[in-house]
Amino acid sequence: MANILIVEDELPINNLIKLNLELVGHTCKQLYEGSAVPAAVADGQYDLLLLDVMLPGLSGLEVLERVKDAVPVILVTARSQLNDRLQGLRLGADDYIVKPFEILELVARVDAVLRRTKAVSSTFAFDDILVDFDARKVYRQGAEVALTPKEFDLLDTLIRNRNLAMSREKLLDIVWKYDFEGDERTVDVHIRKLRKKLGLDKQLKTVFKTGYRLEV
Amino acid sequence: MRLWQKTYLAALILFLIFLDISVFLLAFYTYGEVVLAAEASCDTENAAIVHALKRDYDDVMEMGSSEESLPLLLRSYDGYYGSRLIRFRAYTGDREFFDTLPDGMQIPEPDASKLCSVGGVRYFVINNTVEGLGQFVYAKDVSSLDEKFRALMTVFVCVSVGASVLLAACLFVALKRLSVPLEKLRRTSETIAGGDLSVRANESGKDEVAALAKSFNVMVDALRQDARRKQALVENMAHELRTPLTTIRGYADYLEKAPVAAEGRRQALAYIQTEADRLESVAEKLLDGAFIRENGISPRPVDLPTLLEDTVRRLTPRADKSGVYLTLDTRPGVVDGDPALLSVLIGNLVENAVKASSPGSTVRLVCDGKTVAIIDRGKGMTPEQLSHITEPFYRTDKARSRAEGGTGLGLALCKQIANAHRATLSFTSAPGEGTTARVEFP
Repeated sequence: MANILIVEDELPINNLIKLNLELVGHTCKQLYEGSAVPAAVADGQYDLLLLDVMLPGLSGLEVLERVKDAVPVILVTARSQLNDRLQGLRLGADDYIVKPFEILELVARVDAVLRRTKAVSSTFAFDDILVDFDARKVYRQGAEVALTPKEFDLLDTLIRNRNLAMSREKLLDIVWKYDFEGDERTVDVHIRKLRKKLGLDKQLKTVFKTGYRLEV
Repeated sequence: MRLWQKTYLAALILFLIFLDISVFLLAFYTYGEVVLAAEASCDTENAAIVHALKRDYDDVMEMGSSEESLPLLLRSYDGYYGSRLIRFRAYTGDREFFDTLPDGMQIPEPDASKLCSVGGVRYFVINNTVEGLGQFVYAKDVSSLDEKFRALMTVFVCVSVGASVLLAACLFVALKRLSVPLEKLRRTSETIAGGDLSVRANESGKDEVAALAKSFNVMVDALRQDARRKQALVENMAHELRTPLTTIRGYADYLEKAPVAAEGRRQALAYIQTEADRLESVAEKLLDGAFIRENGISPRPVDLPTLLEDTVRRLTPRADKSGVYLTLDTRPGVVDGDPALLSVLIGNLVENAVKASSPGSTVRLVCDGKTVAIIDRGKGMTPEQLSHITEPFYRTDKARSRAEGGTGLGLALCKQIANAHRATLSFTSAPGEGTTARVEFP
């Protein structure tokens, strides 16, 4: 997956971001102040930069100005002021995340930017399964498995948020969007089908009182 | 009504009163002069007539005529002077020689003169005593004087009205112009009241309005700085509250969603606990500050040496942990204050000094009865840092402060406590040489 540089001076938050991004398969490196960032991203080894706005040394916006051509940037800001976000986007940030954030939001925004910048691979393989996102096809032991569009979308979402428990509500929201009036049992039905078709009984876990988690 | 309008009306009314009084005084004075001149010319004329009449009468008498010829002589005079509005009367005690005076005219005493009116016509009358002839009355129709007076008054009234109108117009324009800067200032202040602090009043000129604009701008600058400070405070506060919240929420979320091993779990919970503690500490300090601001303090006599000894005793374990020695050198002194708050004040200052000191060094507390100084030989601060240290959420060393559980509010609270005691809190410091914090009680 992607190689991501996290620049955040608050150690707990920096660790939090790292832990979560590593869960979904990214590789992370951490920095705690701004001045070393331009040199670190210069050789192009990073696919994405997560950048706190309030940094000691060089402020996040100053860093952004120097590195925006070298690497895609998501700003992490504690300030909710529209002003900062607009300034960040105008300066060339690809997106922003406002603290406090949810893990799923963080993962989704990172994923969206990586997809836009084509830094994610279009296939994903685990165990005996191979998923081709562009062709929307799934192979098990080399043989194609026929999935309905919703089943594929559900698998896609679970893979992108792998190792994170997704609530039924959240899955409904992402896969079926808001135009769907169904209830959460719809999710259960589709999960059961995925497990059966792909033999995911072990990996696709039910998390008590929370939802489902694809552990790979 | 606007000030300039009031000024305008007041000035106009006063001016009109004075102008009209002056004009009328002038008119009456001029008229008096005209009358005097007319009287003088009548006197001269009268004297000439009397002189001529006496000579003619003497000549006539010498030629042997009788007194009967006097009316004839007078008639010829009348024929000549009548066209010049002069009438005569000549008489003695018992005889009337000649009389063309209008009926009912009051004749003055012999050798006197007066102005009198008969049938709407004014006469200047002189009663001459002519030797050998008797009384000769000269009466000149001076009605033209009234006409002159009326003409004069018309001129004066016209001039006065014209001047008044002109003045009213000029004054209006002038005062309105003078009021323009004030009006501008008023509009500027309205803009500022509307929340736009970027505008400035026009300071050009040297008059009071310009001076007012200058002090106005000074006020706006102060407001602006204040607003900026408040904005920065709010932003800092948001940051200080969001950071622990982000950690707490994030790790709670993480614990819920991710398959976490025991060690990761312990670490996540430790983060949550530490950050919750920090939030609590921030809330406490903010509330302390708010409490002092709202309620002030209830002062009572506090014995400084006792307070300092207690503080040193309380903080010695903390200092021991950092390998820093605390020494106390105090003289007797009692100040008015809240002992709990003063203990927080001195305690915070000592804690800061201990944090700044390296192991093996000494933090000295010195008290001369009114002033407490806390002197360390720690790393010190630059003047730039020094100017910010009592601002809420300012930290000279952010990473270390947070690692040690600092809130960035300690010195802001100290400053507030000092202010509530009307004490001055000051710092002197140089990088590498240490810092001296000084609390001077009034």
